Amino acid sequence: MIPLILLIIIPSAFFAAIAVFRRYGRILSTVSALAGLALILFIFGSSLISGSAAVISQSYSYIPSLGIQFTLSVSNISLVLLLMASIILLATSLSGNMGLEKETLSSLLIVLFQIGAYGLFISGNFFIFFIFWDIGVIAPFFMINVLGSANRRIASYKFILYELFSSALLLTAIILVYFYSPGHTLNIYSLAGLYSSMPIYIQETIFSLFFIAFMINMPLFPLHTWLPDAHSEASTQGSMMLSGILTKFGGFGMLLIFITMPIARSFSLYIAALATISAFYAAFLMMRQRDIKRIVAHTTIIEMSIIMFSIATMTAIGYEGALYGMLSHGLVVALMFLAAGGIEHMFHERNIGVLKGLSKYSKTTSYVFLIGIFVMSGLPLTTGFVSDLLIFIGGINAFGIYGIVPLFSLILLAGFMYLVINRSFFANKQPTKPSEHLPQAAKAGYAILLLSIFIFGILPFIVLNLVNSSIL
Amino acid sequence: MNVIPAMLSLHLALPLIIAISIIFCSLTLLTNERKMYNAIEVALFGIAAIISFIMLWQSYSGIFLHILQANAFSELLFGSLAFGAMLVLLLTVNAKQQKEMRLLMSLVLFGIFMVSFAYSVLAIIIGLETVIIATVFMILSNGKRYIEPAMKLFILGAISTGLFVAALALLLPYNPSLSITTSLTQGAGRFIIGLSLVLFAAALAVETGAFPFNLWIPDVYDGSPGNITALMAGINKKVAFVAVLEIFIIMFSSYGMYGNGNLVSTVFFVLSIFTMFFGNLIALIQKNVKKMFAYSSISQAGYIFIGISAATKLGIEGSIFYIIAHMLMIIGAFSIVFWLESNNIKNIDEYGGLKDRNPFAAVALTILMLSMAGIPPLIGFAGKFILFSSAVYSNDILLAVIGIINSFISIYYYAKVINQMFQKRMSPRIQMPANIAAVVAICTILVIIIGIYPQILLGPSYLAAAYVI
Amino acid sequence: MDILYLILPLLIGGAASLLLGINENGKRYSKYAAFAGALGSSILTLIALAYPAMLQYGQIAWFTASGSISFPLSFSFGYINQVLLILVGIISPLIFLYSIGYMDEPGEQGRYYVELSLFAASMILLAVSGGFITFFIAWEGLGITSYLLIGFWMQKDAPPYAARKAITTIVIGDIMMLSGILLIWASLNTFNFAAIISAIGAMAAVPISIIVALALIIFGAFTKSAQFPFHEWLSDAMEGPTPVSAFLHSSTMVKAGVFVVIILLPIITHANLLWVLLVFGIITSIVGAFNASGSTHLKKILAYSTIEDLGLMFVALGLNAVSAAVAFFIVQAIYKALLFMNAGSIMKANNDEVDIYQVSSFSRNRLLFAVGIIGAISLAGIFPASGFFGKLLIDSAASSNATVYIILTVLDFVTGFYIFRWLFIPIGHIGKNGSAAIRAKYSALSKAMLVPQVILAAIALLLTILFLYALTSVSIQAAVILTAASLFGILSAYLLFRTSPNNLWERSRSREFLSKGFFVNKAYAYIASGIAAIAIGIESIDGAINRLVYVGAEGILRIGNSMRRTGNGIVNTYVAALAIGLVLLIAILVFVI
Repeated sequence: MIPLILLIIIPSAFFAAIAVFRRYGRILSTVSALAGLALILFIFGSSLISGSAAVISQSYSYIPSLGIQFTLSVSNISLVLLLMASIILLATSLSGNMGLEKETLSSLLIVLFQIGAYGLFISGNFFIFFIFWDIGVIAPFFMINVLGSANRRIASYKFILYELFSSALLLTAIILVYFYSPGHTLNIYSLAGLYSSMPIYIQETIFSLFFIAFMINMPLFPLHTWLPDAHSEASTQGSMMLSGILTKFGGFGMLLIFITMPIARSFSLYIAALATISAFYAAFLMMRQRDIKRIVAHTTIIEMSIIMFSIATMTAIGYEGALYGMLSHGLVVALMFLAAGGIEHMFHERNIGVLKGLSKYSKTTSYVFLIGIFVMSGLPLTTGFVSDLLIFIGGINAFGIYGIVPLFSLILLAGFMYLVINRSFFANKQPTKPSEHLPQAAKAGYAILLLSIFIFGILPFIVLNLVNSSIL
Repeated sequence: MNVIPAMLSLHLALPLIIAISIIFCSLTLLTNERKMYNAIEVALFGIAAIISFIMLWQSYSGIFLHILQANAFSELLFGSLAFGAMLVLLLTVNAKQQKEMRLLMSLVLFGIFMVSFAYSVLAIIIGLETVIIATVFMILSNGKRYIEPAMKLFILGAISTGLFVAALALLLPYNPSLSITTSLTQGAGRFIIGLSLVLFAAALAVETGAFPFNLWIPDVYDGSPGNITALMAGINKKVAFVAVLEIFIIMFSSYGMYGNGNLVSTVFFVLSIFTMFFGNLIALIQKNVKKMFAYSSISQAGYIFIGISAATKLGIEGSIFYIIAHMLMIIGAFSIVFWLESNNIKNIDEYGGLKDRNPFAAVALTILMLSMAGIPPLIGFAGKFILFSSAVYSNDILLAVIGIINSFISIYYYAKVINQMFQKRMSPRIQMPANIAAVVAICTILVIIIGIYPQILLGPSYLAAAYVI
Repeated sequence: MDILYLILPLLIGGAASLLLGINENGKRYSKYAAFAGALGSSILTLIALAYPAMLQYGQIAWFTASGSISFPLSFSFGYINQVLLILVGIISPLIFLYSIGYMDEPGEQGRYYVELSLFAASMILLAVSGGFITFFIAWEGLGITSYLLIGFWMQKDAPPYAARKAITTIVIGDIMMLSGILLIWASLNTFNFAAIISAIGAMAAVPISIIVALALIIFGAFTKSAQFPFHEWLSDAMEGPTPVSAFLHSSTMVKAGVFVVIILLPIITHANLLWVLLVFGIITSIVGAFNASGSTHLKKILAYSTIEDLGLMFVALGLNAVSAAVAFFIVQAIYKALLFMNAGSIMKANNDEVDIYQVSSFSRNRLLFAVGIIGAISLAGIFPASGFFGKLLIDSAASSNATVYIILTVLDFVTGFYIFRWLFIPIGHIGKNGSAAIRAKYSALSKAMLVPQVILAAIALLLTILFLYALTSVSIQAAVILTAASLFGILSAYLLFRTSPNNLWERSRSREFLSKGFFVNKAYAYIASGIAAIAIGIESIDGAINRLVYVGAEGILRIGNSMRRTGNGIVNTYVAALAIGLVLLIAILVFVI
């Protein structure tokens, strides 16, 4: 096994390199993403071959006086999410910062976010988890604040306040875990059997704090209001990372606490109900949006709510469905934000009321967007179908016939998305004329994401065989 | 490495360095201004810090004349505060009143020395008094404009001293040696001792800036020149905290539990909550960056009180860690404020576009503020984590929760400044003088390095805490 | 030969035509590549049908989740699969051939043919599916290609709108179908049709979850097979190119729903859900037939007629008359494809005019006219066209149920009426552009467009022989009634549209009413605005949540603001506060000690 800390050291080295060789920012960030992807594919491949179900942990001395170690662990969940994150990061860096000059800053932030995302997904204890969680929040903050569009200031403000509120809750929970766990351990995976020895009310408190913290990040109704602003005002690359990877931080955390904390079972029904409400709520809310990036942002809430629902089923297949759903949603939402960014770049406009007949002059982007809708509505042979299958089988297993209800929010989602695309993309009577060309690099981004969507959609066993042995 | 102590008996080395520094500065008052003198003075401060750290490394300890004692605690804090004082001195090397500054700073160093190495309560009061008087004169040396803040500081300092002396007087019958290591037990006169404790608390609360004893702080900080604000927030206050640790944790350590709880813990519990909320809530609405940092430093003091209130080894470790951490953060921040002040940039609005005018300053200030807000992996987070943990450890979950709420509130005003700095404004670039840049860079780098690997500072803090409690 | 090879030529042909279509020089060959692919698939299909022993099919493991839950792709080659395969195998190359003549702008051909090839491939996949996973993959493929093809002419006003309507209905159906599939899986742990049928057949009482699942599947099927209340998308779908209407929206894709219901009919019967099929089938066929009588759109009349036909198929299924449904399934596909091709030829000659009062008659092209009449009599159910047998079998199946029988007989009359209205009105009509130009256009119609029609007309007639050969007993009474009703309909049409100078029917209130499509579209609009209203409500809730957060933040800022006065610069205040603090500390002392 290679040292996992390489996954943090490599991007850090590239971070330093970009800070020095400012002119090569984009190339370096792409290379960094490629290097990360190669490493993860290597780990992924070797776990797939060895078929080992165990969580691999590596520890370094960190704060001996508190008994906190710098523990890095790779579980099957984290491998899948790492894979997703590196594909998105590669597409993000490769497609470049369309139309903005601050490419160095953008590349720096992408690499910083890469550190955060990798670190979070391989963190073996909650202390490390928290550290990388906040790194993962700070990088997108600047992506919104510095590189964003017109309302970036308010959006970034909202973003940072909500996210750090979430991290404040997380910190409280972590401190509680630290002091109530036998032997003062924070190790995420070995805590699994230890929660039950804590008093019930402490377990409930810890669970609630974790839940609300992750819920803000995911996000779920009623703590979702930061998301549409943040995701729509960020730069294209920022939106891709935010929706594609950052929301998965919460999903990852949710998976961890639901799998490891037995107390979750007493909340799961209410949480599933909340997730269902959240999906429908966001679907209706989406219909009032006219800004194409805001629309895509709202789909994130819907899909993440469905993923939350899947986790709340507390069945093995539900967890797998959630994991696959995160993989699917990460890839597709990055694709759609990239397409939306391409449209914004080409037409200098995001209002779907104004945009007309985009497919006339931007065929590629229009069809990419369409495929994105297909994936979101669960087209077979794409990742969306596999995740829908798994999620709702889990739902029915856990909640019987009611387990199918959230699926119907996809009618609203797809119905509205098709309305948008047919009004603004595929009605060419009076097409809007573009003022700029789509950079070739963006097409490379499309290609990477589309390819991954179809690979994981047609060959889902690549991922599922790994997860089948053990979800953790 | 036995060569160094052999060459120069360490317990004499520090007083010697300080004496040399004072004599040297007094002499330079008589001569013409020379840049080199500044360099020598900075070097002397640096040597003092280094010697202290070497003593720490050598686990040197001992008692002299029943006034001073050396142990890990005193060595760590003197070394760190001397280092901080060196940074502040570095800020002033180009100022026009540098001659006076040099002398007064060496007096401050003397004060730090007395307080850190105090064995007797008398050493503490001498040290504190020296620091305050020197600071008053530093403010005054900047011109007539600064009489008002200097007088305010002087008055409050005098009141503080008065309270301190009164507390001392009450204590005298029960602790005639005035040694801080005398354990005060709850025997006869426990109410008198308690009263003395309260008076000590009030006296030190004035200087550490605990609510409601701290109303003067924003006023004086804002009124004084930036470099002296950095000194007050970075050094003076921290010296007072050292005194707090010595008096309350060492001297009153066995003044034990009473019916409703430990008096020391209760006092600092209340002070901590009030102070955190007071500082943060007012900082929220500040338009002037300097005032904002003044209030912010008040709230940061509240976090240090959390560890003192916990009164456990972990809490003291956290407090010591955070004293040093905050010193670094606030000196760095006020250095930038000081420099921008000299460019007539004071309000948050005027900070707009700082990223384009001087990217280094903007990035450094951002990192420092994020650290103050407790964002990992920066030094502030490590400190806060230990402080909040210690609160939970001693069953004060409420205190931890309030601390976390306050760090969250503080995000609001720090983000406001960050938000401004990274906006696009068409303004000319401004150059940062090399000495200020050096101070900022040192602070920022330490904030990051210790943040990423807190053990560098936590290890010594742990040793120091072991001596205190 | 693996069963999946059947779709391979289509995929290759589609890909080739897409690539050729992008290339400036290759554009011209795009259509031929696609046609070759379709023909290849068709030949393979016919070989497979001729030598079924050669085929390999069964289950392919696709993926496994959660350790044990497997998702296999199953295939089957039963009689209903073969029926659908034959239909697709016959019609698909003819449509591609027809398209060569019809789609004569080269610019967009690559896109058109790749979508059409994907559609045909999905159709074959559907036909050979033996389990729900395979079925659903094909099902979604049909939906999406249909959506793309309806909206093919993006530069016009109506197609994007029609495509949206279609896809919205299709999405609703997809979700219902998927829900049903998953609910069935949850009860039986299998996706395989045969296993599901035997498992449910063995149950004494069908559990509620399976009834719900079947209902969801039936309604899912209704969306694709354009049953009331989901039928309106089909009439709008006529905005697509005519070959698409002939292929997707009359003969094949709309049969997908019928197909799945036929497969599941044993368990639907077992679950006592036949009445759903019957009721909705009757409503749909009435709505379809009357709307067809009201419309003046050349293709929409045929579309409503398709809706009616599909309704009739569900009626037959609701009566548990599978063989009648399957027979009608076959003949309807042939004559409806024929009629659509015919309509397309008329449009082509009349510059895409679609109003039956504006187009000039196709009687000027005798061949076209002849095949049109064959199609029309087949639709009307007149011997010797094969449509007669389809209708006859359904009518006979209904003979035990008087109400249904009467309704069907009335519908026979209406069918004869509207299809001959469709045929008669354009006859002798000069048209806007003058007769000479129109005649030239008619005679210039591409052979590629005529050949498929002739073939289909021949099949429509030849099937009659097959029926005569295969049917052992028919109810003479039903045959007489059917023929009488249809002839009466034709007669009414003749009297109204050929002899009477003032056009009574066209100006009548009832026609106006019928042309409004029973306000189904209006109902859709109400539902849509209902959803929009909910969305507005939700938006205001969201605003309230946002405001709540803002108010909270404001409150905190206000506290800060009110506390700011403490730092007023007066030393007295500071000292006073200090004194208060001291008192406070003493109070703590007193309290603690």
